[in-house]
Amino acid sequence: MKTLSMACDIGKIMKRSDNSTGLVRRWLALAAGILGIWLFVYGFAPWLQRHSEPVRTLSEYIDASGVNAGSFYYTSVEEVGEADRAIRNTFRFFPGGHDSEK
Amino acid sequence: MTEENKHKQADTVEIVRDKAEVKLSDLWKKEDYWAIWLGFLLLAVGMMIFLPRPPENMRETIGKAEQTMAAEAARAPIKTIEWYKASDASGKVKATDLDYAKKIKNFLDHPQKWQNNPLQAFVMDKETAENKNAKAQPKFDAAKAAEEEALAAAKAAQDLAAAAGFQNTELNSAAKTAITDWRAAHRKASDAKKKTKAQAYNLFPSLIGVGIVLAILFSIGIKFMTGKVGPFFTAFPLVFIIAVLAYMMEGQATMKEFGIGYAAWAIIFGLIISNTVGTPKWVLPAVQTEFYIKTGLVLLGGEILFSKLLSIGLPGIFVAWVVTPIVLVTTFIFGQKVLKMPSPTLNMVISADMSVCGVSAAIATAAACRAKKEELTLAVGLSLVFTAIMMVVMPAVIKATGMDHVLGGAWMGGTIDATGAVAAAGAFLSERALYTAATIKMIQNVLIGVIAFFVAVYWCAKYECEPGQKVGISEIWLRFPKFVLGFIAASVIFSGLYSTMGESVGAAVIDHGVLRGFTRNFREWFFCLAFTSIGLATNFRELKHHFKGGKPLILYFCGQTFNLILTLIMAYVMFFLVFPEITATI
Repeated sequence: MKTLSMACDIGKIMKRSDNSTGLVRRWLALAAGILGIWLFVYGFAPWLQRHSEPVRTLSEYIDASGVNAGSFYYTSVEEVGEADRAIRNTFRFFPGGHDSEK
Repeated sequence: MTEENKHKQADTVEIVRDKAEVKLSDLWKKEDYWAIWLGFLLLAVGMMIFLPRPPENMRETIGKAEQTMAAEAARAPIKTIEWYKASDASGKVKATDLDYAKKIKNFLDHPQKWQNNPLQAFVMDKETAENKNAKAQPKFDAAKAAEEEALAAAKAAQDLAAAAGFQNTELNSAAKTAITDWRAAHRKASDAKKKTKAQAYNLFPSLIGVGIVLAILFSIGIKFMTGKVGPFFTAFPLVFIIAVLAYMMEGQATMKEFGIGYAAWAIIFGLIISNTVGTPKWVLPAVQTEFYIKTGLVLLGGEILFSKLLSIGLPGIFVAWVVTPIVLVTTFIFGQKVLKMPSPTLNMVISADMSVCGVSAAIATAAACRAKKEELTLAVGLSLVFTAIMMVVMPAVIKATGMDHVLGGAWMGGTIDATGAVAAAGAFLSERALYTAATIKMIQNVLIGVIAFFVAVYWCAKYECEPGQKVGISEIWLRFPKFVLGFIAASVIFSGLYSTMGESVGAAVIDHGVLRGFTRNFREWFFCLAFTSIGLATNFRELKHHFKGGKPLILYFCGQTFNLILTLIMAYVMFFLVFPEITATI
């Protein structure tokens, strides 16, 4: 009886140990994921900018102009509002455009 | 059983569908209706705030600018300096520049730009702001001086052309070139000026406020649908914090330059958590992907203004509204018949995402055809990668080949997925390229409403029934995702309102008021929460399964190649053969 109880205790301890190993592995995986992001942001991306002329030129332009290149809909991009107004005014008032008032 | 039928059967298990019966209680028990109620509540609040408070002397200022533009257009066959100045003045009339609108923007704002210190995304003291401004000042001074010099040269060239009564082609052409140079210098100076305007901020109080507002808003729907508000409230802060971190990463300087936005970061953070330490069970009540997406889409409906369709005339319609559906349908058929994509929903989401406008089209079609979360993740991922590549490669090709910038702009506007990337690539080339590219993209953005509606109807009538089964209109109605009605209704109401007010006034109080100043900010938060939820609920193994054989990548690549060829041909035919006068005018 005593032997059986000892075996159960050992089993519980091993299970707990397995759980904690799994937990450690999961947290390590999370840390690896964060490290991967860090390497991309501060390693790969700047490296690409340094070694590719077209990437560097466009990156410098985006930085200088402040265009929100990551936006996916037109209402989030100021330049689209500007383009819409300029094109609309062009066609409305300029000869050869769609001026309905003239 | 075929692969497709197996997939359909799997879908039946995993996707929540409306039961084939209509109850009055659906109006307060179903997520689709709650998305409509919450979306319309925000649209109504936005209208109540902005419509009674237009910019002071709005009509007078716009009227004066329009008079000047009309007079200048009658005086000269080229866009004169005065014409441009008047056009700029009319654009400065917008509700979003008023004090109350700035307060709303500051409250709903997301983390700011930073380089090495992430804390700067949330807090910047006065001293740091002043240092930034001082550092940017010399560049602005130089840009301002260059602008003044360019303006003087443009004035001299214009005076010469005017002295000849604008009858001398050579002088007109020289004036046009000098004015174009001045516009480029003017843009540089404006951009440099923005960098001298940094102000101190502390976003922590407003972010807490936004979190509370969003939690209350969605808990109203949760209360009626499930009654379990407590677990939602407990879980929401973690989902919101991850969404804030996604915005923070969007603001990282290098990531901004690569155009990697919050959608990618929200999915990445969610995926990393769910596939490593695991998403805690107590967080799941706030992982309300569909609820956030549908509510965001109803708000997006308000931003679909149909009068924008004619912004660039018929060529725009042909490039954005004829080519796009052809590419969408062809790619979908190619995916089904040739590639034999195992999942038609994945096929549709990738086809729409690639042909229409990337992430926003992917969200709308995924919701309309009830695609799985992993399928949306995959489509968004493909779109982001190809957008980043095309944003760099296309301007380089256009420059190298000496392609006309109107043609190049139309080509980029019709093919690069994300609007921000289109604007960046266009502006990088020239003002003409920017104006054409951005306008074509905007017209294509409007297509989302129509695509989402037809995809929803097509899916109800064809893909959600047994082979050979015919579905009647009443059955289609029962299966139809009802939030799409809210999406369409918002678009119809705002398009009507915009047109009734007239383009200029509508742009000042609807586009640059209710929409850009209020509902857009909420919509972006909702989508960010949705992408965070998608990441938190997605398993890498599921993603891997969808990517089997690389079919999604082949589909995207083939579809995009077809899109590039067809858009270029159509843009050339429209802008150079059929409507060359429009090209000359831009």
